[in-house]
Amino acid sequence: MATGREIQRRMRSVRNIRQITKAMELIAVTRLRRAQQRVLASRPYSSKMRELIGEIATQAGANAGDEVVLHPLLERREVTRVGVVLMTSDRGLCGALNGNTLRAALQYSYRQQNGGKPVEFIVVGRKGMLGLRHTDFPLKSEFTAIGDYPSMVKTNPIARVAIQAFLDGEIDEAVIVYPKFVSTLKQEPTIFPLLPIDPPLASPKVSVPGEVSASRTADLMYEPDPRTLLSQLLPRFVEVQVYQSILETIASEFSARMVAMRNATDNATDLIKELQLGYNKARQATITREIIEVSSGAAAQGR
Amino acid sequence: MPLHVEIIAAEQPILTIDVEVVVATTVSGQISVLPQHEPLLTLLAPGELRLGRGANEMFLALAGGYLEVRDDHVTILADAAERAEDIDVARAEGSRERATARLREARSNVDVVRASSALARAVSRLKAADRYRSRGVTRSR
Repeated sequence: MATGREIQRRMRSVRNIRQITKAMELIAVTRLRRAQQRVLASRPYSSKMRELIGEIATQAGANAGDEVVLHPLLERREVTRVGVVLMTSDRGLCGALNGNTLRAALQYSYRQQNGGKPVEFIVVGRKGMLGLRHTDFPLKSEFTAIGDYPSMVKTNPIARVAIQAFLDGEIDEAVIVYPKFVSTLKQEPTIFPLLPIDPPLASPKVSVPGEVSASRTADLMYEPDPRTLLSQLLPRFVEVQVYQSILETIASEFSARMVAMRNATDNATDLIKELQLGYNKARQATITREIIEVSSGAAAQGR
Repeated sequence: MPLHVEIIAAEQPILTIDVEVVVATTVSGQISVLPQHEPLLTLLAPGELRLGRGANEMFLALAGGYLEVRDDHVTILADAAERAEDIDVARAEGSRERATARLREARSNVDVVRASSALARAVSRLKAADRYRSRGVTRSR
């Protein structure tokens, strides 16, 4: 049985740890809130852009004919090589987040590889880098120290690497593997197709009989011309999607850390209780022993 | 019937407002959008954006982006947007000087393109800030 003093030492140490995990939990809560706000704030831009791309692609595509590819980033080629953009965090102590994301990325990549399509990685986050170190997959680029609230200026280089690789023919397909923020308790690794861009179909021009056709079906005038607009919109759209997935990854990181730290704090609290019981037992055992010693000593002296 | 204008930047929405006229700088020149404008989607160049209602005017400096007009709804997807009154003139001037220097020293086509767009953005910020100042109540040139 450990001595009372040893137990006290352990209790002090666990109490200190508990203070730290509690603080980390509270910090994560505040950061999570801000990260979530940024995710929501970025949505109007991307959904409007998606809508515009859909309009141009549908209208210009209908005019040009299906065989014409309006822009290289829309081009569906035969896939011979795949690029995976892996989103992880720099820091740990966020539970199973990075492990799960990495596992999903590797499962996907091995599947591609076994199907005869080699995979190369673009990694975001130190944990992803460390995780890929023990695999054979080539790393095209690594990005760390993105920060908690990055601007698009910070995240655009990542998109640029993927775009350039696709345009150069180095890869024929690119996906993002990132932890999707489902809820505070649930972050799900998700595989999101990034390139080639799949333009959403805009509403068809044929109006249903009886339905008042809105001016939506009227042709938008395009200035200077559809192709130039697409040549600006499409790369920008890729940048926006990379930006959004990073924002979501960050929100997932804070959420996972909050939960992990809360569990750690609860475990520490339980441990302190157990140690306290153990200490009390040890103390009582000592007292009992001393009483026995004193009384048997007195008895030996023949009271 | 006024124009309902939404200016949205990639990181967050900037402004939602009802105005009577929108004057924007496109790659093909300046355009004025009034109610009942034809549906249009146009590419914006770095420059000033003017929003007017009656005697009131608001100026913003846009770094570029896209403008859509449809059913008296104007949506501007801005690469970056700053209100005239928020512009840090000293910073914008610094940007302009740096861009001009880079343009002078440009060694490749890429350098020229980058430096000239940085210059255009800095100039548009300075112009917008200047407009605000010259219309301001307290200051005179």
